[in-house]
Amino acid sequence: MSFISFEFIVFFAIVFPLYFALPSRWRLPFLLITSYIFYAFSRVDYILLIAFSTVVDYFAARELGKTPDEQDIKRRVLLGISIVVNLGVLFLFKYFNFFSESIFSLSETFGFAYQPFTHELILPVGISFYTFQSMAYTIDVYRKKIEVEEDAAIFATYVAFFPQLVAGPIERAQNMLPQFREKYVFDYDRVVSGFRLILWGAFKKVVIADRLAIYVNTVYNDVDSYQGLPLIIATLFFAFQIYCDFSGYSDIAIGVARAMGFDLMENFRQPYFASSIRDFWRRWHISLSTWFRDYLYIPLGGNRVSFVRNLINLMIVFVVSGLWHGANWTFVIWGALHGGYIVIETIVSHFIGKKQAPGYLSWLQIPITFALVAFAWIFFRANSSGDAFYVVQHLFNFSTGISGLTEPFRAGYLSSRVEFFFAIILILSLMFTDGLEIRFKQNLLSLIPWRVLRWAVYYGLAFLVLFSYILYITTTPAFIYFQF
Amino acid sequence: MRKFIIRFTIFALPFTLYLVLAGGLAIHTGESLTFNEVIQRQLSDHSILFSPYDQSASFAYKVTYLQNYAPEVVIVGSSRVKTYRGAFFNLNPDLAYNACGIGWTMRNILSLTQYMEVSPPRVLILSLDQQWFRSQDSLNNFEPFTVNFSTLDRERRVIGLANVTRAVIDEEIPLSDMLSGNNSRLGLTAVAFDFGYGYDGSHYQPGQDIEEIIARRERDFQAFEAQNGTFYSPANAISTTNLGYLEELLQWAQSHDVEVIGYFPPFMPEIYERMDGNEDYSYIPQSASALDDLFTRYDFHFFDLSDATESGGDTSEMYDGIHFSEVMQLRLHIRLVETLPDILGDYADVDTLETWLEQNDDPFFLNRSEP
Repeated sequence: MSFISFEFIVFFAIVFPLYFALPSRWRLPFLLITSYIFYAFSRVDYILLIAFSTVVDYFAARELGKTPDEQDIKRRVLLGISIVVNLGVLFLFKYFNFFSESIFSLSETFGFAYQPFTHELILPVGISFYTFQSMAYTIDVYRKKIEVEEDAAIFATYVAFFPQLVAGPIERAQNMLPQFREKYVFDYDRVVSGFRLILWGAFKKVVIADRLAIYVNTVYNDVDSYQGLPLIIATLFFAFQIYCDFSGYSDIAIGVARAMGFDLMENFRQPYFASSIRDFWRRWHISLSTWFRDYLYIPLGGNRVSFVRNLINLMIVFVVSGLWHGANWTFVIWGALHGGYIVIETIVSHFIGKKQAPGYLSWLQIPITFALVAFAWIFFRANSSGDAFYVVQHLFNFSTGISGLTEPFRAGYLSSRVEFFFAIILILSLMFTDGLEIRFKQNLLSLIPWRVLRWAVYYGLAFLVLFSYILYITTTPAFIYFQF
Repeated sequence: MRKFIIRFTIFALPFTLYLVLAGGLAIHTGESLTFNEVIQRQLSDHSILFSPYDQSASFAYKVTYLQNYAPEVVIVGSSRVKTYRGAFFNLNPDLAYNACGIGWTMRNILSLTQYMEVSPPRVLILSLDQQWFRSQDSLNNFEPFTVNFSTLDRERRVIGLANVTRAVIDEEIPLSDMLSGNNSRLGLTAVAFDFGYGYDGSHYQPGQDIEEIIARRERDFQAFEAQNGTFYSPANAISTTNLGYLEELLQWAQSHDVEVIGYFPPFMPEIYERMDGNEDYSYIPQSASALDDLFTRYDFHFFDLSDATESGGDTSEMYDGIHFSEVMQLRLHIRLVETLPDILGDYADVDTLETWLEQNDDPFFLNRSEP
């Protein structure tokens, strides 16, 4: 179930008051059941997959807890079972076809063509998130960073907790498990703060991201028809589309959880104000970056190895991170690009030291970082690596000038020119609010001083969300034949 | 908690009011019905016409019928085949379904096959627009429609609400029309403009003003003279891409034991007269010849019916330069049945159909009791 749907509004309108109306002892099973119902909306039978991951990790961790350190092999086997099962499920559904077809292409190059075996299983929603979250728990138990969770209901709810089940944040057991033991009372300020975040997240997703998507999809689904400025604009728009889409989703997840009494980790921290690529990854999809840091980078040796090995470790982490985002070479290239950026940054800082750039240059760091990130998004968004390289090759071909610059917005509800300028205004407003949030370290909506003004803003945002959703849900490219 | 409930209720009140009003109108006009519900209502009451506000939905609507009712005879094509009635298969009209749609292309028609995979029809009648086979057909750029059945029903409920809102904002359909409703019309467009798809999938538009029709014919003739518009752009080469799609379709049909009958639908006689033998439109005879070869190669049948007069029709049976009435469509149908009795004889009795024509004095509608 998507947060941006009428189903979710109805679902939450039932779950939220019932949750607080129930006696405390019933809330946990209620959360577990509703989380499974939430997931069942995408596909009922895939509930079994979450249940399978949960059962395997629950028992693996329990056995780990009972196994003394001396039995190291048994401990490793138990950990291995958890990792193999989780990554196996992920591999089967997400990567099997990709690897099968890639091996086929490779074998064809060497003249050993064979019929690649592929399946048509639909990728279960959220599988990359909940497998990572569940697996991290077993690893933490193995490392003795956390105690074993004996309560199966608490553990199952931790894996399936509906606000963050589908797209994160990828939570840590030490943060979440204790929260399921607490007894929450209805806290007005907390609930309002949660709803405020939900509204802001919905605005970013529906009003900004989905609007920019019209332009981006038109260009990127037919890249051969464009060159120069439309490609640049589409790439820049995509940078903001994906930011608003994903951070909007995270805001809603955090807001829903907050309203119900839970604290989820921050997932985005004004990433386009990053002054380096390393800084960008401290601000972008934080729950995933830290996951890779804790469960891949550090086990590989992190930076406590030789300088060259450290660079290799960085590269591995980013390529794997690229692959995590999708089973396609475009994501691998995207990850490798970021890995390359980080490697260069590391080499530069290794040789010149961590000197602060002079004042007259430091202001350039933010736009340069943004430009590098935006360039990498080309590979993330393109439908194929061929398309991505076409975009790269034609990015600075300005032979068509600015003619037709706004035309990719033709499928928008308003005229393409109005849509274009509206999109620019929305992006500028977003950057302005992000800048203010850096300064005030709070969500901007909570800073509005007068109640009347605050309510006016809430109404404004809510109306924009509702009508953008309503008016754009049926938007399809204008068909010539429709005139008949 | 009470403070929150009061404030939230006040905040949510206008949105709730809107949802109740728009939702009520969507239900009242049938705009939010699922396609299955629409089809079931149409089958139980043949006078019901369906036309939603989002015309692009016709693909999903037609596909829903094909999947759930598996007709033996399926007619496919653009809006130019919209008057091909199920009743023309008079020996058993319930076995035929017209899956035509507005805005369809060769790629869309090819994509239909995936929805007929489980229960393919016995006969597939393809009305193939001539301009699909013109080189550089701009319509080739459009991606074929897709249908996600797992979310379709839920989407229709929401889209119904969205369509009511859009119709009001766009000022396309007066609120009074929505409120008055009509029991035998489902969907906003059907309610407001009194036309839509019938139970047999064909399109009905009763009560058209003859003056408007004459003006449309004239407009199309002018467009042809100016050599512009989708249908009248000249070309002297054919589209190999669309021929490829068609061949793919024929291959699918052959492998599924489906008999295919293809034809070029007629133009308004005044226009075709000028196209015929005109070098600027040489793509038409070229593609007719290519299609004939292609159909013959697969043991199927193709007819070039571009000339309405050859079928006994005339301009009075045309709605514009390319769309024609059910009377003209019946003439074409009779030609197909007469030529291919082995295939269509099981479904249609030519003698009765010819009686319909003989007893008819209206160029647009046959004297039948249909919606």
